[in-house]
Amino acid sequence: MAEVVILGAGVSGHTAALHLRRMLGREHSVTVVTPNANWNWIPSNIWVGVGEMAKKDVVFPLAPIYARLGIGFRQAKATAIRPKGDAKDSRGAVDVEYTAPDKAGATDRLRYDYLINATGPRLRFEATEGMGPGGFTESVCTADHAVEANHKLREVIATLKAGTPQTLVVGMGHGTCTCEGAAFEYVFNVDHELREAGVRDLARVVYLTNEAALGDFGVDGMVFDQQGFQTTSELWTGSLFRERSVDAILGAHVSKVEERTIHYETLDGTTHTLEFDFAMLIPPFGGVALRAYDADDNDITAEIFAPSGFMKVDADYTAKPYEEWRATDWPTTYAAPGYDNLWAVGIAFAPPHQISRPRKSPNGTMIAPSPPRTGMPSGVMGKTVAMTIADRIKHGPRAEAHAASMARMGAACVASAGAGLTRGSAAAMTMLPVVPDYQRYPTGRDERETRGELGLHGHWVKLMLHYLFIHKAKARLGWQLIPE
Amino acid sequence: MSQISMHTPAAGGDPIADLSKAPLPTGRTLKMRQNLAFQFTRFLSFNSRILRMVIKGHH
Repeated sequence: MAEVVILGAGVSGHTAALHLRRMLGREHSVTVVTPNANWNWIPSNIWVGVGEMAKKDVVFPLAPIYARLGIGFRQAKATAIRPKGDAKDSRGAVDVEYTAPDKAGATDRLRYDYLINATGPRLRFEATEGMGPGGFTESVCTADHAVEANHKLREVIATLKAGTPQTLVVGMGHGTCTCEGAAFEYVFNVDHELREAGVRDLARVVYLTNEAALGDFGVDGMVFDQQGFQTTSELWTGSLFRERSVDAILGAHVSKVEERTIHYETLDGTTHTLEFDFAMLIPPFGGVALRAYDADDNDITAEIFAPSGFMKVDADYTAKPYEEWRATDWPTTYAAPGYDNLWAVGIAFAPPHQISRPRKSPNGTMIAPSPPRTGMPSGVMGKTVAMTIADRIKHGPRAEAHAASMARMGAACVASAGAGLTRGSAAAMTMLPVVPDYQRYPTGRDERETRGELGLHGHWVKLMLHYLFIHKAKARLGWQLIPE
Repeated sequence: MSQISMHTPAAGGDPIADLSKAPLPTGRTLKMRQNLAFQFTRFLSFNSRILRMVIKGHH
């Protein structure tokens, strides 16, 4: 009998849990440890943030699903990993602290034969003074944040309806943020809501981003084949900003937020202030607060985790300039070096470097999008590691690891630009691979598969994905046929 | 790579990206983006592309 423990129940961890339970016999246990009681389809938080969906449409409780499937569920946060066990038992262990109301604060040590770290991000609002729901800006990173953002947005719309001009700022709250796609979606959904409310003329809408160019999305931009000509995601998204009259401020690092004022620095080293009435800024992500100890209780956190808090895996972490970055730098199996039973997937793994060219201002401020590793790639990683573990349990510890490099896999990114079955729209993009491979493709990616298109159909795709992935996450009939 | 430059429109103003060179969609393009029949074909096309990518690039 083998015990598999999964830390985190986001896209990556939950996908791994479902597939492991499907692939393994009941003599083996699969246990998920997550501090949250609910599963959240985060891509649809955007629609909660503009009032097009309610919180109940994007979250559901995990406990009944896991009970039905026979997956162990501990509502707790992991605090430490002990990959070599402790003095009592040489098997790996995880220290957890319960967050469920009935056991809050109680601690436990869970033994494992195989461990997947899929803990997702820590939302580092504290990286920028005054940012976040505890400060002066909104967020859509969680369903509750999105509900609050919508309340504030409604107040602004009411003020606009009373005839008072308002400035709405949407973007990235720090120079090293990732998830630019979420801010892109939110700014155009806000724009759409203002138009639907008939108050767009009185509103100034600003997109404030750490991207050096529009359409970078933290993946170094894309080159599309459009009717026989190459075009860039920069020109393509620029067109949308111009059409919708959304101002864009590029290459910006937000240094401080005060009530109604954002302070930021741009790549040329100049500093600016931007007055606002409503702001939604995405925070930078860090790894969750996890320590690591060896069997003698010595702290080995620096061996297991990068300084960012993300777990080191089979990537090439050698520091080198952008020109020397290669597709082969990216991990393929997500195994922690030196361990054949420990993996990190989704946001939890430490990327070898950014994907976009890193830039610094003359003042030394790093303004460089971090690599996105959410959504489709995240699910693929979860399934890939689940397959490796299932093979090792069934065929022995020498079974070959399955591979899924972000430099080989593709992804679809559907960025909503307004909700509505007949009036909605979205920027629907596909890219193959996610991490450009300039040695393999002249433009970094397969031009046949790397496309971008705007239109109502993009909204339908995003809506379809919403229902499909919730169906899958609830492990309803045929869930395993829905690809990651 | 940047085709869209930033400029400061007025002293003390925000360094807003100059989007004047970004192509504006024509009236016909805007209409087709909302045309139900045409968009349904694009919906099918996009889904087939995702499926192709899943087959080619996932494992």
